[in-house]
Amino acid sequence: MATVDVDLPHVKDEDPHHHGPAKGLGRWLYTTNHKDIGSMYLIFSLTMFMIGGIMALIIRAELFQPGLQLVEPNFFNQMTTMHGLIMVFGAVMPAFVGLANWMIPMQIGAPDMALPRMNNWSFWILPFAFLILLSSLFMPGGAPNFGWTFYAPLSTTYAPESVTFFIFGVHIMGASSIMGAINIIATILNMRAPGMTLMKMPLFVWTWLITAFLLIAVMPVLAGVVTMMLMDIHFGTSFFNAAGGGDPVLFQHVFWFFGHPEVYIMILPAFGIISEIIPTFARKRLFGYSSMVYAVASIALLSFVVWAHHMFTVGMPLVGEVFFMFATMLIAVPTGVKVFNWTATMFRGSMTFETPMLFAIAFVVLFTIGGFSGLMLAIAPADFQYHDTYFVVAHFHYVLVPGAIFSIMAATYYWLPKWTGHQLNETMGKLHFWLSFVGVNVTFFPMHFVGLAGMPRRIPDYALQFADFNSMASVGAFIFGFSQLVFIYNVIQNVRAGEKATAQVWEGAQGLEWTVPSPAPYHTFSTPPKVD
Amino acid sequence: MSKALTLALSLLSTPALADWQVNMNKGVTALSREIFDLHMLIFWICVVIGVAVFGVMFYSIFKHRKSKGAVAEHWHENTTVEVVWTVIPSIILIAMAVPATATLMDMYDTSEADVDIQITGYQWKWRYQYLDEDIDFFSNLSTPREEIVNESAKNPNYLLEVDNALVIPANKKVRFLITANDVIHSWWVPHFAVKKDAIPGFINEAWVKVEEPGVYRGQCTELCGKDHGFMPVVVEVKSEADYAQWVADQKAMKLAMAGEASKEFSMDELIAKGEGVYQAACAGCHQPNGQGIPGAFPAITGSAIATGAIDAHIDIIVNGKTGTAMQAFKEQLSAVDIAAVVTYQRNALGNTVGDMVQPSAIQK
Amino acid sequence: MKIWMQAIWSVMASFLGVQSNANRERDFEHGRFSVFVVAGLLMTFAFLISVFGLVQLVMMYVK
Repeated sequence: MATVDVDLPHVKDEDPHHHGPAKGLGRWLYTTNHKDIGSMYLIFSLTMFMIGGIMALIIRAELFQPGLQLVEPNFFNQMTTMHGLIMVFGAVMPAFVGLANWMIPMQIGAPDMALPRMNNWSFWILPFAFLILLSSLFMPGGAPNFGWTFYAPLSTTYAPESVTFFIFGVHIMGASSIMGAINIIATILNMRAPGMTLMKMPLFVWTWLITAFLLIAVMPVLAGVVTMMLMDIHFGTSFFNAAGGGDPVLFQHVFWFFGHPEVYIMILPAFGIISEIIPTFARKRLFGYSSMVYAVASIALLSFVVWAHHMFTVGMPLVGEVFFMFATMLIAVPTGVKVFNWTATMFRGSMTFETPMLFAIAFVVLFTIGGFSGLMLAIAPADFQYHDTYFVVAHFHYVLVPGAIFSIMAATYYWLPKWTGHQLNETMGKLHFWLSFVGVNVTFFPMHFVGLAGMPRRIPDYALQFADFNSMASVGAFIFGFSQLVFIYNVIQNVRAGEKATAQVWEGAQGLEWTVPSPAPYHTFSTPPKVD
Repeated sequence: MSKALTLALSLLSTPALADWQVNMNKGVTALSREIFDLHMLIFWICVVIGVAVFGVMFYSIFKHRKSKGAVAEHWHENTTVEVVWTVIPSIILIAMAVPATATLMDMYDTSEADVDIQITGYQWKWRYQYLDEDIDFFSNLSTPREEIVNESAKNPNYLLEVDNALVIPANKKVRFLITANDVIHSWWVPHFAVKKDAIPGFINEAWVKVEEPGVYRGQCTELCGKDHGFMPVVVEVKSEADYAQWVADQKAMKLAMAGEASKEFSMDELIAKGEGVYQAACAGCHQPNGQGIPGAFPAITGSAIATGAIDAHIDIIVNGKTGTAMQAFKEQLSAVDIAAVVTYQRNALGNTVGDMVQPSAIQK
Repeated sequence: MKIWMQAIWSVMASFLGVQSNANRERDFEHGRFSVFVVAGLLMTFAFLISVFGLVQLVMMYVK
């Protein structure tokens, strides 16, 4: 990012007119403070991460050996479905919104978000959406069991009754996301401190600005597709019912028209975070800041024209297959080579390897592996062999776990001292990193192998030839899962005690958020800073 | 005790059967080998790029660290370098997409087939109809329940075995017309590199020409409900002579079956036969003990249909119930099987209606 | 007119994923947002047409 020289009218925040947080539960229910709401988003996300993680461990425990040991196939399908939905909509997305709430106002020198009451509301409807979704586990017929992609007609004509609750839950999540996105755009466009031009914005702010536009564009598409399901189920329409003149493949087109940009929604803020952390610990400016901004902006447009590469086996016309293969390749390269920019940033820097940096480097390496398998999947004829196998599972988990999730952990460790005022316990941070790093790779790397060897995804039991790598993956999953307890311990410990952090926290840190004291006061930048 | 012992034995015995295959199957058709080559080509491209990027990255990590006294340099932009490292991979990939397009065009060329077979996905079985031969049968998983629930040791083809395999001739172009009866399924045989979604109301095409006779195994690859993991695909490729013999045998068997349907059965015969049919065709949803799964699949025990008028009972089995998972079994089961299973359901699983139906009375 | 050409060049640069600081400063200081939005949509459309053309070409060539 551009160097930010700050003329510090500094922190008049102890001004007697300013009040601190309210007391008791009311503080959290009624708060309009971006830091409080950010914290609530992050805690919510962590809770969902743990619930979704338990579901993943149930899946991996069942798959430890061939044969049915622990759960029935129908419950297994409920677990894969809920795991996917909770991790995507409950863990990754709210975590990024939480980080945006905390950091965007502080990075652009704004006193708060532009629409603080809506901010409160967009958070508080989320727990209800997920309570509705989770309550379906206890309904007769069980929770949704049709996969997180909920392809019709399995999710309409053949769905359990709880599908209606699922649809309602998705609507609420969508509303929450759209409100969050509107708030972020309004904040970034209107609340920047004098002198903080768009050109000087940190990349985390840039990537979130573009992500927010993507969210506004595609969440209504998701709402549309679930509404069409609702109509098919309860009001006698036949959007997706071939017997009534509809088309089941239409569902997939609409879903992936949402789903592909959604992939970028879950990775662009991660690009932003990594582009903050690597320069800090390499003590060198990000290589190609401008390229990064432009590339991210173009992704927002081009991510809308490649959706059907998720559907190479549905029997599209030949020219459609070829078109989506070429378009996907052309778009993947400019996105993928951003990895080169991070490498060039490290090259001839002066690096140190604190916990956030370790997670950031792991992100770059493992996300690249996920990118490579993505390139392989883009080759349409080969995709006929990869599609719906564990190779795909390996691919998107590499992009989402050591991708999105590692970036969230890197961000948490990076900004935690600013939030709590306590320096990190590096030993515990590194312990968490190495356990997670080993766990993630032992879990997901063997999935490439079983996928190529022919194991379909979403099956509760498998042929004997897949047994060895599956038990390996299960062991890895438990290592990864339980190592997150170290993460929780680290965060709680850091909130409670620790060495006092300085305002700058990290030697190489640049940017407005490092000019306010640690912990950041309840109100920051009530008087806007001046950025030259 | 013995159950625990067999379980322990089966757990111990599995690693011996497993292998460490890490790559895609090369397959047994010209097309599958082409696809394998594309796969390896893109894989090596990724490896080369990976070695270059990670090489530079790890070099920096070791050399340019503060603890070794590295001082950060100040450059942060070089548009030329960026254009070069973007354009080169783009060209490589576009070059790569050209042979991929050629392969794709081959895959889509289903013209001039020697044999046409319609494949229909049902909730959790496949139906194969030979369009020129009047052969039509269903293919169900044949792995015994005891193996799945770990009560007996698993055989080497665990979950990849069926009662009636699809039989095709070697060295002939076989065209598959793929569709589904209920939800979306996907028909996949890795060794043929044929994977195509089976979509209700629509017909997809694929083709294969296998050189070597043999048995090839695959699975359904689109989540299709509870037993998605339990609907394998088994294809037996026979030499031309063997295939002709098999076709003749199928036709003879069909005639024999037609004779059975006019026979008169005793109640005990029907119940005995019906139990087998029930366990194969009904127990997946309604459960082996007839209790169903509350909220998903109704119980047979004490059900209004299975204890009510026998005509309505026959009707729901023959024609199914639209909008539910209850399929029409008229195509899947013979008149004898339907008569047997109706009689069984009415007089077993806790039901004691006491009546029976003869195969000749089943109106399909 | 010049402003449009600049915007179109910048959008093309963004599709490649590379842009220089100098051009970015020019874009952000002198460019108009609406021009970039229109240019972006136009270029996306042009991108689709050209990929489609490329696909037709390749399919003719390999046949």
